[in-house]
Amino acid sequence: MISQIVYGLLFVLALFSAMMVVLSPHAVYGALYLVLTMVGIAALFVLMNAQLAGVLQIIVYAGAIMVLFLFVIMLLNVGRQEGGSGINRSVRWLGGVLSVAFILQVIAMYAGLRDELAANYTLEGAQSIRIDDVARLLLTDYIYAFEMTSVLLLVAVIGAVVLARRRLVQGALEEGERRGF
Amino acid sequence: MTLTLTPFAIEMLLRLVLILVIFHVLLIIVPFMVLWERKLLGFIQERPGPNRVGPWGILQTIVDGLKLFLKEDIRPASVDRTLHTLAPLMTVAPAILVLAIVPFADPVRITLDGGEFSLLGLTIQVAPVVLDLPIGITSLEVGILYYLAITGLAVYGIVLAGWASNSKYSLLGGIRSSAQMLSYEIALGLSLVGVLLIAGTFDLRAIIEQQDGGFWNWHVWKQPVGFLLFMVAGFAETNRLPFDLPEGESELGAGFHTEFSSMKFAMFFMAEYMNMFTFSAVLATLFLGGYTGPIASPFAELGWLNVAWGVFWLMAKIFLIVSFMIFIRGTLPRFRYDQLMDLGWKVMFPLALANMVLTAGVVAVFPPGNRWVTREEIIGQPSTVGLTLGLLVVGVAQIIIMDMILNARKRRLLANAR
Repeated sequence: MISQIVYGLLFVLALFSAMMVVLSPHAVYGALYLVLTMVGIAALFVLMNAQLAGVLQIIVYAGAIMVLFLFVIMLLNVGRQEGGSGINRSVRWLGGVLSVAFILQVIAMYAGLRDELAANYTLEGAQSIRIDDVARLLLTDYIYAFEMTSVLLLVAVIGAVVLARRRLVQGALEEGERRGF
Repeated sequence: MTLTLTPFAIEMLLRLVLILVIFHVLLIIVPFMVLWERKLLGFIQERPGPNRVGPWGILQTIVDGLKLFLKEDIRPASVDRTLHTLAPLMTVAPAILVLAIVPFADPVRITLDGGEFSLLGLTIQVAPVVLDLPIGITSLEVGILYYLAITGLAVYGIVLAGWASNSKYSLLGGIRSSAQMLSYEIALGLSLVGVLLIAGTFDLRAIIEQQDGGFWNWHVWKQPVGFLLFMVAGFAETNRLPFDLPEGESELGAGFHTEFSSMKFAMFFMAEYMNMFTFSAVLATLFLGGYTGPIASPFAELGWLNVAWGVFWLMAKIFLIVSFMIFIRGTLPRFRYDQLMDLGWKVMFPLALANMVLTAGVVAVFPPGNRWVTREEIIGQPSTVGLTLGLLVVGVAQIIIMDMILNARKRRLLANAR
């Protein structure tokens, strides 16, 4: 009973802050609302007995990615309303129609699956996911996908370094020419 | 009117009391940590330190706290009002939250016979109950990950304080801190992998139990490199000297908290010392045996004396680590920004990775007894071994190719220069 009330409150919080990400006029506030959304979702995970998913949600999204977002927003010094003003009216209408369609779709899905969901998935009956099991699955059944993902990330990192370095080397070359090497 | 206390309700009440006690002990310890820091710095610099208010200056920081309470809260006209108020709270909250996973002593067995008593005209029936109350707020399966997650959130308070102040110095402090915390979080997380591989669990209480029985069982002997790296990364995470660039008073005024006064400033200050406390507690727990003493506990199992023994040793270890942090502050000068980044990315990160790979190899070949995975499972599967070797080849090839790409033009440039 208590957990259901808490679940409901967290759900409202996550949804509200997700909406505020789009609605808040200032980019920094938008990013902060996104952090709040992440934390809310993490709390929902924990309530559903998935502690690992919840903690990873915070470490990866709230702790790392959103800090970088905020960093970039602050460095670029994006001011009030700047983000929203560039979108023209027809695109806004299209967005509105699409989001209403999406909400209707979710409601339709929920209506269709309600009985099955209520029968099989309850907060109290949620099974705990052990870290051991996740690790074992990652390193046996899903090892190829896991390793491929890591190679992909490595390639991305190397790509970023190469792109950044080329400019540095270019700069050094020009500097050399300027000094008459 | 009667009220029945079920065993569940009794346990909840006891835990609530425990949470309140631990929280307030932390709040009370902070002023004494500040006093000890000032005294110790005084000793290092051959001056007495605070010695006017109370014997040995013992009331100095309490009076300072009172002063901060009574000061006017100045809010400059150009600040972002909401975030200027929220930022100190967002700095203190993670510092307190981290404490939730620190175990303070062995569980204590509580036996209630049950019975009835009346309070304010209310009859309270107590059910007979026997329970083992863990001395600590909670015990999570994901314990250490929780620590990493919450300390990762601590950066927001500082960054937002810098941004909301609408001042150049504050913003520079905030940006420095976000770059610094991101860089050192990686070393912080990686330095723990070694000890976690040996422990085979994320649960702090389980990790302590493995180290029970004498100081030669402590993980620091098995993971000296991990211990050092975690310590250094912890200095950076708590923004202590020699890594206090977000404050950097010689170049940034007071850094991110330049525009804060009275209790808002005090919250940043409190958060720093709370972070020191919790970081020391986690360091002691992971590497120095936590609440276990250097010798096995001489007291009866699960009694209050045993709890006192545990709390004493944990506090003694925290005291030593905090004193060490203060000594470092009194000894080392502040790093330059590029030195800080070099140390984080070029020294600590590779060292932590090497430590991780080495430990993983040793654990795979000689698994400790507590494994949930056997040696056959790790190295017995041809696919695992094959993939590992294959990826190693790919990795080395990538490093070579990268070196070729990155340095080809530089080499040409150097050759031309000659």
